[in-house]
Amino acid sequence: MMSENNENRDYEHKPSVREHASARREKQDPEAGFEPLSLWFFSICAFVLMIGGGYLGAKSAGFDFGSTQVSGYKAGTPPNFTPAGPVLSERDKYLKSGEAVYKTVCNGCHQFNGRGQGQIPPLVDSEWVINGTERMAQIVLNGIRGPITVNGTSYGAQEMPAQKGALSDQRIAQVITYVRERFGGITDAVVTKEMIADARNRHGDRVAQYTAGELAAEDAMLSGEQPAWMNPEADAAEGETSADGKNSGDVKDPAVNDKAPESKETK
Amino acid sequence: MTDNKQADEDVLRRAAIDRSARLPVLFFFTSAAVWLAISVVLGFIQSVKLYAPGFLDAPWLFFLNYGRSNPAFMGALVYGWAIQAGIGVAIWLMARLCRAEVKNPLTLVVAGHFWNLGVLIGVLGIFAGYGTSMEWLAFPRAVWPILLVAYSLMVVWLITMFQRREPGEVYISVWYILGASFWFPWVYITANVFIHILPGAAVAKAATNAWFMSSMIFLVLAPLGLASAYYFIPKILGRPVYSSQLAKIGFWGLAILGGWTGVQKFMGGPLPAWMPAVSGVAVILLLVPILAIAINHHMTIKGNHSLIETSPTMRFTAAGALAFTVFCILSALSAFFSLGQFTQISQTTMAFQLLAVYGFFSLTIFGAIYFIVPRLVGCEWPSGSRIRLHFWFSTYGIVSLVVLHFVGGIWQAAAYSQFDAPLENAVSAGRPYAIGASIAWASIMVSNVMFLYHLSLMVLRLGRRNENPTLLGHQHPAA
Ligand code: HEC
Repeated sequence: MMSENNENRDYEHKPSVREHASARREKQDPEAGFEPLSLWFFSICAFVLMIGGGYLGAKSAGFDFGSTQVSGYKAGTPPNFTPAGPVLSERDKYLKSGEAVYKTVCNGCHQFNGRGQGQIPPLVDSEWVINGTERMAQIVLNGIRGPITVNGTSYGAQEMPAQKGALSDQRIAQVITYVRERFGGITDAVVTKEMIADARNRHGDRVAQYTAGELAAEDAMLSGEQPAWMNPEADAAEGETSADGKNSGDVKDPAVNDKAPESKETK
Repeated sequence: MTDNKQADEDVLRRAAIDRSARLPVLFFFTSAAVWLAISVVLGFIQSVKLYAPGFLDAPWLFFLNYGRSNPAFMGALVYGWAIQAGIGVAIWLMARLCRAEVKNPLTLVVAGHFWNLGVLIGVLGIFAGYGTSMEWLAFPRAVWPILLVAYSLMVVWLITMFQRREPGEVYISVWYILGASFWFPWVYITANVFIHILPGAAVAKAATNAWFMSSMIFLVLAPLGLASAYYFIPKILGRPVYSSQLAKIGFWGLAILGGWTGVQKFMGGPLPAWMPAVSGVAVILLLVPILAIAINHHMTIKGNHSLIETSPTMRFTAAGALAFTVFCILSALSAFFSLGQFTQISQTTMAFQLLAVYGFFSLTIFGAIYFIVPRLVGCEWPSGSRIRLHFWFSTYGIVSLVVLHFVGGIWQAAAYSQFDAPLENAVSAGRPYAIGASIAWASIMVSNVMFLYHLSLMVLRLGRRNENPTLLGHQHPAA
């Protein structure tokens, strides 16, 4: 810093004048004057205060911690307002969850339309889907490999991996229900997570995938209660035609099968 | 004769004070100007990213996406530039007004290094993805204690300085500087505690955040900027401030009301209704002190407007003071739901923040810097036309930015409230304005990169060696 001062001096040869030039030319340090306040100022202040008071009165809702709305607030319905989509029944929610599982897990192989591709068999109208839930649970839990005939066509070049590690009982129950309803047209009974828990107890220890011959019999059903929302009164409230049998019997009625594409659209 | 001698002594005294303040003040100014240059470049980038995310989108530029460049730009602008430059001005003003030489400049320089370190970690942290997503508090959590300690050191220094003052009336600017000294730690600690350490419900965090930003403006930036305006306007005119009574009303009004503001941003939101109501009434009542301050400045300048033409300091300060008044009036109007519903959650937020931080604060501080630096380095600003360009690019830039974001935000918010229309409408409603804003940003960017260059010349003592100040009009000797 010293050297810089020297440098200034060398440059101008008039240190005292130039060095403090800026400090010299400046005006005195400021101070506060004492002009009186004008009446105008006070009138404007009074006006602002009045507005402020009115504002606080109107908006503070009595300083109530519980109230998030200004007093006198009425929720209005905008002119062209249509309430959000239909309220889903318990059963529809269950199927929706099943759809979500299907989309993340099964979709990649069996395709969203359930028709499979190449050596991956279809699920639509498949006898492995419409018939016994016991063997379908076995397939999903432990996977399947080897020759298998679906809808009269033979498959076998590819394997289906076990899903028991990836999916909870609840998820498996939902996806089986969904596949059975959408591709098999079975609407009268659902698979519950208790049923799957039971199946997992019985088959969960298996290490390798099944082959078609090892699966349970065609008509073996998982046993267990249907959930409360499956009873006819609840169904009637939703305007759904309830099927006759509450005990998930074999439903091979072609009329029911025909409903499949229709229920696709309602999803 | 004695008068002359007294005057001579005064000059020497002032020169000695300036010399003692040189190191810390120049340190703060230069590093602040560097941060300003960084932040305006980021500001430009984030403004383009808003509507053209593909801009500068190389894989190694991952950190420039809007979600990072926006908070990084705000952090650099508020903490790197605004507060740092404000402190620089405060140090010099304090030394001048207490008529005492700067002792322990090293304390300040050390504190300044810590401050810069904090801001650096903060900005890099945001780039690396550790930002907190809280507005103006986006630096990673670890940073705030560093900034707090650094600021506290400076406060200790300022208070020590105050205690060494020459006896006599304490000038208005000193009130404001002391105010900002205490209010920043209060506001900053409170906000960080309730957001980072003891976070409550999400809405409470949002409310704290809104309160924090507003309090930073009214209780930290405003006092520092007003301290500068209260000093330089009368100083350059060489006459007293119009009324000390108005000055008191202005100061105490701001002190009492400033800390209640902010939450009005969430009126109609899921908060107890009285919270936004109290904030709303606070910004409305703030019009009283703001009016007092504006009248005071206006009456002081009255009849001497020619100085706004010639003196860089005067011109920047007057523009800044005007921006402050506009900011306060707009804030008060937005407290009413009829306007507020459009300014709550849209581009207008940006208009408000920039009007306060750049339009008011930065312009005022530029004015101070143009006055102070020649006194510290012993030479004059190399070029008056460069100062003029800085002024015009900055004011055109900020005025168009504020207008564009304000109007664009209103369109955007109107589209948002169309609940049955796709959200995309809101995006496209704001889009043309966002594009316009980039052009305004470019102008601000150019002007401040130029300012950094100009300031560097001064710091390197490459200014004009002359007894005459560098002025804006045409009458000054060769620029
Ligand atoms: C990795 C691909 C893959 C995934 C994922 C997959 N499967 Fe399979 N699935 C197959 C293959 C391959 C077969 C036939 C195996 C064979 O040839 O023995 C099959 C067979 C079946 C069968 C018996 C045959 C038929 O078409 O009816 C059912 C039922 C079945 N899968 C249901 C499911 C369900 C439900 C899911 C989702 C939880 C699922 N699969 C996921 C590949 C897959």
